[in-house]
Amino acid sequence: MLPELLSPAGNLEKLKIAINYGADAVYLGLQKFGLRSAAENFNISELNEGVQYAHQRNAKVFVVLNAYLHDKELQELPAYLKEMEKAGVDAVIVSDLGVVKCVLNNSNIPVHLSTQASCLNYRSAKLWKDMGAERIVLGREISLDQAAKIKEKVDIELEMFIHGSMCMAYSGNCVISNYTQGRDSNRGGCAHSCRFEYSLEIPKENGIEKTNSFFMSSKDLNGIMQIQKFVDCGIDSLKIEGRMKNHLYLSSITGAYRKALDAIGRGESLNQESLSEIFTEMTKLAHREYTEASLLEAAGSDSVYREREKAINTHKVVGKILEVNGNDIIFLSKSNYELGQSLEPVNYSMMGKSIQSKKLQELDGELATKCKPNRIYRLNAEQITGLRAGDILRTPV
Amino acid sequence: MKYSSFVEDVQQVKELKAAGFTELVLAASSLSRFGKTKDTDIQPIIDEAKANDLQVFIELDRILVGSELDLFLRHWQSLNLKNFDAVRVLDPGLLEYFCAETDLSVHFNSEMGNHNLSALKHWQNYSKEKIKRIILCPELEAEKIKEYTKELNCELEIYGFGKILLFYTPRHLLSPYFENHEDPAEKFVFNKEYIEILGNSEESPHKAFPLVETKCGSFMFSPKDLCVLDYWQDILECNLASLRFDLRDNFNKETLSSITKFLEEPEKKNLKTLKDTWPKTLIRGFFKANKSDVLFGNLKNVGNLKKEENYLGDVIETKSGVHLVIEIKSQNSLLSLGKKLSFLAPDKKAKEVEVKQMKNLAGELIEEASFGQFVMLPHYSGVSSNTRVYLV
Repeated sequence: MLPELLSPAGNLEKLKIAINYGADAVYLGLQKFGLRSAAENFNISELNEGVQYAHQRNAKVFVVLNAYLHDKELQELPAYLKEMEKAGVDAVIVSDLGVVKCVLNNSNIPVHLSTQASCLNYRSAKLWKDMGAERIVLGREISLDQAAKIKEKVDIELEMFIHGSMCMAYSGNCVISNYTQGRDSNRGGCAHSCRFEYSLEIPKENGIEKTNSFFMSSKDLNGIMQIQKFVDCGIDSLKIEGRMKNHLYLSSITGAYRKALDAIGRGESLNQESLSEIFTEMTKLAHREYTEASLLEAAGSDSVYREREKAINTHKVVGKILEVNGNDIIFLSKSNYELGQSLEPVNYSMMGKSIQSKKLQELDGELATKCKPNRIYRLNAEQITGLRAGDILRTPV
Repeated sequence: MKYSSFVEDVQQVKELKAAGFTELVLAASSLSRFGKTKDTDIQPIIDEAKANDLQVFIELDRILVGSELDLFLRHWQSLNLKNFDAVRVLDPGLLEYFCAETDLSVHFNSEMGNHNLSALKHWQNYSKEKIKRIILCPELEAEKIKEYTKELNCELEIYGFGKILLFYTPRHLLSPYFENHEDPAEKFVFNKEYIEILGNSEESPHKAFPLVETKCGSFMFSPKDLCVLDYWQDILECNLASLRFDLRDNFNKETLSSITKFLEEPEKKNLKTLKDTWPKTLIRGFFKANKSDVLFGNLKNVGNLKKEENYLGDVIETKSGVHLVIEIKSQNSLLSLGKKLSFLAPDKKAKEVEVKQMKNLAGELIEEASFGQFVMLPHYSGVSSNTRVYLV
């Protein structure tokens, strides 16, 4: 059986993009109890709508409740759980044992143990299963082979991160923000101090040598080349990080893993060449350097930036398609695209193809040569079979 | 209330006893994430502690990845340690092992997270017979701890004095800087016992973070050390089993003497002497007040501003004086001619209008529109993109 593909949904629009691009499940945060205080997140009516949208398309919705709660908040949680249960939420992702028990005592919603709990060995998995977890989101420090061994020893669903930004610390084991910024990192206030540049005082024969370095800044995880191994190891869910990331990221990355999983599902053997082709597609957005981190062996020094972190940016988002009418693409612009520039759909059935267009108009018919952000345009184009409303358009930078 | 301290060698046992400590925590380099004691010294320290009527606990505060757990336990069994009083574990996998498969007393380290009574109660209930003590999170406030000691039926310990661990990773972040190499992709094997340096960041308001690497990984500590002794009366009222000190970075006669004086007479002048002898700045942490989530309100969270009742959708485009486009996002709402709309702009300005004409994106006149559709209306001044739209 193919593993579930689990994508982030920072807001309702992103939820729809993730599902349209092939996510089997999405995870999202509500206004409280999550670790992404700065994200837009969902209110209850958006949650209802999101769950309805997902379920109509056979996708699941998991709600993230992975902050470490104080007593007062724990008292507020049962009312929230009722709303989630009413909405039809498929599971909650939790790291705090108090929250685990509160969910179990006040609802029938399944509990997934968050990666924040840093569950990394079979005895820990066994304990959390005894505590009521139905699924464990393993810490990012574990290899696929080691995860398979946990699966052999403990009868529990396992979820692993396959893509995205990484905590440098064991998740849940960093309080830098608490003591340096007065913001509790385990309650949504992480200031990303691990991304700062530090001057290291290295003792040398001639005295102290100061070396500037981003020594705590991890490269981003990319597991596409190991996707067959994820399947072979029996991992139940492949998770993409990034509730704060943009539409281009969400569509490109979800679509890439969907394409690879579908190929595996059809019994096709994914060779290096076909995976490299998908990998290339995944680089067509702003991203940090990629690493396989600990998927095969413990992450080494090559998984960390030593020099300044270099964001690689080959493509930018042009906009989102609202409607396709015959040869007309109506899209909401997100950047300053100029007519004549290469235009590519993030659509894995059209991989490598670009859209040829000679006419760009505003909605009222006024001709344009250049897009302005947040404005709707009509693009007359050819060979657009396969394009759908909701597809993201990109252009090389 | 007892006082506990880390012990690193046999010589320190008597000195710690003389200073007023009755509990010793032994952190060996093979068992504890940044302990320094060698395996050959563990049993002699335990024996010396017992000869001095002191309790001794073995620190097993590593997080263990995959098969590291079995290797660790094999090593633990091979040490065949005797006469110690408890093991102290952080990883729930070790908790499971010691509760299920040994008769040892266990101290559970709940320092990461666990900010509520329910979590602590359920940890305790995991094995009421084996879990003798819970080591509380340093971010808990005194008033909460006072409540918890009444509710929990096991010993509670807090951290009172010493270095503050901020960060723990299994990756070896420092050793590459101690090798002579050019290739950044080259992997390094940690071959030093213990690396300790300082790191500074222009982006942080704090300077001189102690950074440590051991074979277990890398650690960052706060530039300032913890001292909650200013709140002595609160500490007493917490009714704790133990107050822990970590003197490992500054273990000397002067420090021990000033601690002894303070513990015998917990007065301000003695605390000042202790603080004066300590080489680093001391902070009180969160013991009296934890306001580390007060700032959250200042983080951007537009969701908090959202009004839900009668929500129809959002304005996604405006062309000044020409048109605006609404995306209908509410599944249960229907927009038809004659209905009144309320626009709530990002700057909080509101405007009400009646729908007299509407078009689809192809420019055709329509009479109604529902979920998922886009509607073009004449533009109204003050309405911009991202304005939220409600049915009146």
